[in-house]
Amino acid sequence: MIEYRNVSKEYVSDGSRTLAVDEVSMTVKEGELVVLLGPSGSGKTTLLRLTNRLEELDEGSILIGGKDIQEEDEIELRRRIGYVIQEIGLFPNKNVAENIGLIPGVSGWSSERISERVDELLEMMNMSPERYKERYPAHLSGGEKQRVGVARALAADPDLLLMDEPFAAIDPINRQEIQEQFLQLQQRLQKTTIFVSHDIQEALKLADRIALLREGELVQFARPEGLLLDPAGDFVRDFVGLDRGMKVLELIAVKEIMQETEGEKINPVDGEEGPPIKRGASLKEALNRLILNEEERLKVVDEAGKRVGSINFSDIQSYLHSDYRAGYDDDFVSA
Amino acid sequence: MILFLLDNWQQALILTAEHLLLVAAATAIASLIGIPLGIIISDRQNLAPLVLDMANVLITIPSIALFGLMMPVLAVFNMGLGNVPAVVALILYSQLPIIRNTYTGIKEVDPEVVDSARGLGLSFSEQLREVLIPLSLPVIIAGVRIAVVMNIGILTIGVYIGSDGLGHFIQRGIDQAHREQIMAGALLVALLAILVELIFYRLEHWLKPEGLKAGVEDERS
Amino acid sequence: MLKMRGADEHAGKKQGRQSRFYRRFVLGFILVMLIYGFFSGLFGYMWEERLDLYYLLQQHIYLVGISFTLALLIGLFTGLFLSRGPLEKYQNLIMYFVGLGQTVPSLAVLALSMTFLGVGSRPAVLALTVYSVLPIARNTLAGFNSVPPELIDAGRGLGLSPLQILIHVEIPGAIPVIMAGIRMALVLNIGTAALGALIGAGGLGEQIFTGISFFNFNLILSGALPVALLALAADFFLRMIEEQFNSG
Repeated sequence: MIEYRNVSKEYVSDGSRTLAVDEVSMTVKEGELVVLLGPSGSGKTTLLRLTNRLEELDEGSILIGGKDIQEEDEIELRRRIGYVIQEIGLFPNKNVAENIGLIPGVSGWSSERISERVDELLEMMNMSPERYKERYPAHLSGGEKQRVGVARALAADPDLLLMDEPFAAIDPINRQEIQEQFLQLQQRLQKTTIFVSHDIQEALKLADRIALLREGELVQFARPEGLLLDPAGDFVRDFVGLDRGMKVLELIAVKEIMQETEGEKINPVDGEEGPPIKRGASLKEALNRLILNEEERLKVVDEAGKRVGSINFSDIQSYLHSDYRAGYDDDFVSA
Repeated sequence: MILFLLDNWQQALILTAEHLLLVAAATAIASLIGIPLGIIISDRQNLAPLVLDMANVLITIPSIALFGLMMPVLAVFNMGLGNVPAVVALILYSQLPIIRNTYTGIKEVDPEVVDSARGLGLSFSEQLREVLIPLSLPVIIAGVRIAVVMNIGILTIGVYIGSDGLGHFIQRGIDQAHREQIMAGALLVALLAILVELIFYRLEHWLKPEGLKAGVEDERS
Repeated sequence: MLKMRGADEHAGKKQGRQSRFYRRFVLGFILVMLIYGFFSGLFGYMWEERLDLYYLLQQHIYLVGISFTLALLIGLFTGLFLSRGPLEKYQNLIMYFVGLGQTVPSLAVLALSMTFLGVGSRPAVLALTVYSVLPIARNTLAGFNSVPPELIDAGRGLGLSPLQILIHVEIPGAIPVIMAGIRMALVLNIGTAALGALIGAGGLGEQIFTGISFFNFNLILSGALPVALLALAADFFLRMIEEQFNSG
């Protein structure tokens, strides 16, 4: 859906030229959430801003839905792309409803339609419209502001969403929560999203695929497991961390390797004890529990608490030793 | 002085009205020129030093010299004396506070807010209308306020090139060595300036956008 | 309560390097004047009257020189005095009245001075001094108030005496704002001195007012242009000095 072809951008300052983005090529699929990951100065924000022409590229081209962005009026382009930044930048002179409804408003929507859309989006963000519609940004917490920021970006139902470290300014505790909520939102909306982050954990958690950048160059573009299990070079290896094996465990959910059983009527399998574990929990958590419990097996339940299966050490072991790596296909881009 | 004012209250009223009208006209026109100029240079930064310096030169030239300069220039249009050169001089004089405040007001809007506005797809004129001007309005009005108060004082000198206004009390007071008359003129000018300034302060407060007035109170339950 | 006017609006803003446009403007202005002056016979006239003009110029500078020196002394010390602790609450009150004082137009101050002291240069100098003290005093006070209290605290912590703190911390910190006030006051002074002609103090204003009553442009300009130049020159040089303080 978005195609970057040999995109380059350079900056000239005081006579010296730096390549902020260096011949980056990649393709983002429809509905995919790609995280642009890298240390500061890696060009990830620049690449993002090139996408909605807040910066103009020097070489190469970017196509959205097959159409070259250079051929489109930049204002029109930006209206069909959602944009969320770290400091959010809510308009302080407008209340929540006015902030969200601004772009639809200038795009000619009727006021009823805007009003409905505002309510709809606030509900989606778990913010009750009655309580929040008329509030001003000055009266919102960091997390609330950010959610309004996301709602505002989604207001005109854009084809594509651009997010520049949107959760970085939120304290770590609330950040977890808002990431979860965002993940759920994304599963529901399936919006093609480009998400800039410098945090490997965040990337692993949210991304369908990760584009790791360094000094403007695309070093690796792969699914999270790909970066962890097949890092393309030392830089990647260092960036993801020495505990990348453990990180892989965080990516796999219990439900993928548990022994399934049906319903309550089956007797609990021998040895199963201790508090149950949710089927969506990660292997890392399962391992943690198994180590802490004295018994050998854990009961796995669904969101409602109903028993759906069971898991133990050897289940995990056999999975990791199996050919699970072959279970996914993707594009690797090596340095 | 009070006696004088009471005796001549009709004239005091007329002169005050004239004075106010002339200042109002001059400042209004100055704003119509200066505010758009300020907006333009906030967008085109490269023009900013040029325009601001020009305005700076104008305000540095002493008022009497500026009034004097108006005469030969406007005499070409047969308007070398009277209210016209005075008002023109006031317009030129008050460009700096108006342009400068408009410019800084817009520049000082939080850059993150501006980036969001641009990124979401607002054109420059839409940015102005929806975000930039509402947020910088108090500062812009403050610039107009400074200009008005300045003009009220300077217009007193305008009588010497034939304008109307409270300067007449002072001029006659000098000619007749009549202290009360001078004081009456000075008092009225000062009162006018203070009054207008207070009105403007109210206006600035009134025009502050809703979202900025409140502090961060805790409405959240 | 009325906000402190003047200081916050004109003064103290960190001016960057004096933009090259400003220099060009002043020079351009002079150039235009030169061309006009040459061709319109203005310069011819001025050259003829050069002795008189020179005399008026001297008078003008005399008026400015004396009144401004006095205003500097009074203004700086008043501002300094007011900034010292115990008069905190009176500070605002006094500055409020100073602010009020600035709404009285310069012409009126001159005229009133005349009613007390008669005509001539003495009442003019008095009026000019009074008129120039206000912006200097206010900016001096504002300048001292603008010095971050942390710096003063650091000075005390290091063991500096109050006098040393004043010299090494407060004055350097207050200078930008004070300089801006001085600059503004001088420009106003030069302009108002031209009005002194109305109360018999002479100066370049003589040419301007005589020129107006006779509708003689050469007369007017032979007074207005030098006054404008004086003011621009004063402003220009003081800005340069300000810059030295800001960077050096």
